[in-house]
Amino acid sequence: MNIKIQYYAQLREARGQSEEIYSTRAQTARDLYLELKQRYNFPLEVCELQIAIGDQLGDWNAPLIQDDVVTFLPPVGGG
Amino acid sequence: MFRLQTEAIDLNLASQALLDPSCGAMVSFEGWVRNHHEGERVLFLEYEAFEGLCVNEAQKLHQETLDRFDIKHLSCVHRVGRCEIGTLVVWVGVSSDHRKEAFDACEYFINQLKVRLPIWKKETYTDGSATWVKCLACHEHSKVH
Repeated sequence: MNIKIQYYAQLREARGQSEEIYSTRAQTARDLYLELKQRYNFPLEVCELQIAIGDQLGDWNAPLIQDDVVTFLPPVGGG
Repeated sequence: MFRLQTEAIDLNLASQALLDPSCGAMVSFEGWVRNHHEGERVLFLEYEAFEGLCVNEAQKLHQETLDRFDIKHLSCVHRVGRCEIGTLVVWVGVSSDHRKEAFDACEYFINQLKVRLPIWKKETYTDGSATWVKCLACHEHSKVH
């Protein structure tokens, strides 16, 4: 299935772009991140991140659906 | 009300949402870019945000703060993009009947903003190096975001 992935901060820099359409067989956001981490050598572990599906915080273990918009959120630092 | 913006924060405009003849107190917090962090000399900051999620989470935090404290109005503006030393980067304003609830609500909102909203800050130092800054409170408590 195709998933739209958005990247911010460290992950955007590591990937070299802010979003992409990615074809995967990963069933969950956790599996997807582990696949991407290995492929792009991402510097952050799952335990350091939050996950968003669309514009809402999501569950790492929820099943992914075709055309989901997935965002991996590095540790925040606003203010 | 919560807003992300690239342009300078207009305090007169931001505080309009707080005006209310029943309020006897207004408390505000201003966050500025300082020129040092943990012994490093900071040259400038860059903020980026996931706007859709940020606005959703800010609305939840706004309502949560209204429910938790006896206040009338709360407003917040946060900058994104490059910000030089001395720049006002975040403003939180609260109005209420009396001052104590406004002080408490303002502190609560900014504390929660720093650990909950998807906003990222990159510091560039005078030696040319740069780093993404984690929320200090979360780092100290090893909190997973």
